[in-house]
Amino acid sequence: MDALPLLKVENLSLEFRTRSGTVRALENVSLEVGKGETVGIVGESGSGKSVLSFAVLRILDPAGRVTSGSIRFAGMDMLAAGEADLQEVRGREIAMIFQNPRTALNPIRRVGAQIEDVLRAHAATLREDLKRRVIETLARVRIPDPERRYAAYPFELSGGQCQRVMIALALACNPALLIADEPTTGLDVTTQAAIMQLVSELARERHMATILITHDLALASEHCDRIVVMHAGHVVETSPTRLLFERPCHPYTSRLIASTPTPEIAIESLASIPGNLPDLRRADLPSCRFYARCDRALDKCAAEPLPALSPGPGRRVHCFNPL
Amino acid sequence: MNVLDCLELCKRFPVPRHGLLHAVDEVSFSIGQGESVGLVGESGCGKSTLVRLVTRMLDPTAGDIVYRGRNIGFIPARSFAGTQFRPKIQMVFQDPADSLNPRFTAFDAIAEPLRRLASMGDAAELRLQVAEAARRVGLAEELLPRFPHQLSGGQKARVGIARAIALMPDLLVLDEPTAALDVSVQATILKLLAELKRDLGMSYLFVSHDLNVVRMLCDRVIVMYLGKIVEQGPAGELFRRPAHPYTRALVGAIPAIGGRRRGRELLPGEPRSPINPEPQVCRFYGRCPREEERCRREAPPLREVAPGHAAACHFATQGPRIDG
Repeated sequence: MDALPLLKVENLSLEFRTRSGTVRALENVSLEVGKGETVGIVGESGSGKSVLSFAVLRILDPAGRVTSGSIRFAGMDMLAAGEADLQEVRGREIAMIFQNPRTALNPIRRVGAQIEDVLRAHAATLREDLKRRVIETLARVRIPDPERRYAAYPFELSGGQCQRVMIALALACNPALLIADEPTTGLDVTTQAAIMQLVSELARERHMATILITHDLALASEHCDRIVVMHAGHVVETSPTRLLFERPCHPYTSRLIASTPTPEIAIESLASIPGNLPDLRRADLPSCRFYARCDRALDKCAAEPLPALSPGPGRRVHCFNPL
Repeated sequence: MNVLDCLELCKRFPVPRHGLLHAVDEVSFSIGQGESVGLVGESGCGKSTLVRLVTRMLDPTAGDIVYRGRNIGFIPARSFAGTQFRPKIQMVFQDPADSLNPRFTAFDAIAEPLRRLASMGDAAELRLQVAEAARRVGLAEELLPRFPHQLSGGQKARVGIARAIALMPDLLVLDEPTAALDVSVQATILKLLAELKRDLGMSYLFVSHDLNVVRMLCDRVIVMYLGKIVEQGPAGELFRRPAHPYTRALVGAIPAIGGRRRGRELLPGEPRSPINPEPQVCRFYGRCPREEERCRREAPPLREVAPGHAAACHFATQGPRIDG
């Protein structure tokens, strides 16, 4: 990793004010992404993976409020930046692809026009060059027959092709960081493999950093250099990919790995995690939010501030009683 | 006697101005007593149509559906609910949130089939039966008065399963029962399903896109591609030594913890159109890494490559082992 990371999130805490109370969605979350690096954020639904990426792009719901911490991208303070600066960064420097490509694309505009929008807004392209650039972009994400697809509406494309269009949109301006939020959920495994290969290839070619947000540990293990495990708004563990699976340190990580079906494991030895995510509106949340579900919990896990241990190079785990 | 035999089952939908969409095309398979059969394939391959035919929510265009030796395929779907067979073939739907009536409590959802199909009017008896079904699926009794929005995803999944097993069906059809759940919850539901099968002796038709889940829960697997069965065989063998190139690609595409599986083949292109498919062309033609001229002239029939293991490919042999 470079000495100066591309993205550095430090001790970020964030809450949502709702009618039924304040939801403490993120607490003391730290994350670094180096240039050209692929970092996975894994966790179950409600763990705060997507909220974190929205915070990075400053596209949070108005009810969301950052209460402490910092987000720096390429030296820029994202939390202090004005809307004009942010618009420069979004799309050009940081791009995002979303879970459901069909709903993320505008259903009543041709896909070519949607990619042209991005180029016009960010890339200072000559008008007569626009169409050619769009077709090039479509060809680069390997959409068959790009001249014809230029004029297609999203409903005329398959799910996999829609996701390719999303990738084309996101990469049109050569961003330094791509945030891919569950990019293959809802796609078939064969399509998933092709899409992920495309993302990895383009990232390598352009030396682009990628944040892959996924609930699929196996997918993250194949594509990420490092993995950040989240649970209920906390980062519980950060580790280089191989070490995380060889020797998980946090009890939650280890349970999560053991509950993932694999070719080798029999159903009897599949682990499950008892209980549910805690209600993040509670005022008396234990300091470790996994406390109630953990079989290694100690008394101090509920009350004392969590330690940040470093069990190895590049590894960090927030647990009093790690494995 | 088999619980279910499907013989040359076809379902074609007319598509205005285009022709006939062959959703399910001459599909034959059986499910034995207490057997669990997995059904896999990518979206649009006809899995859901086949499921709706088997559960008799849709009428076949041709072919037979035989339940314990009696042909039920000719009974119109709209009157099937009135027959003695409805309680015997039940279904668990994909999204537990969408398939429960938001105005029904968990109790009502589970009681509905008992009231309607078993004509259970006696309130005390009904309470007893609902409590029994809830107990079987591990749903706490105090959750029964709750509405779906007051239940977690895993709890809703349990309600959907309790509702389906309340009548003690012979055949339970499960359409992606864990697709909407987190892995930790999925694990508990999978274990529940394995336990129910063992205790109640039901047969399963289990539809899933997650091949690792299928491998865990099923004795035998059917692979579909564009309305046709392209391969079927014992679960372990089919995954370890797939014979059809599509199955090989499918198995190879499963992400694996600890790095990429060797020999992953990416499929080029998109599936052929299911509308008016040319009968002499292999359905996989155009995406197949192995295709030859012959595949365009002669559609390969299913043929055995090993006992109980068949594939629809001219070049099918029991393939080399795929290592995990």
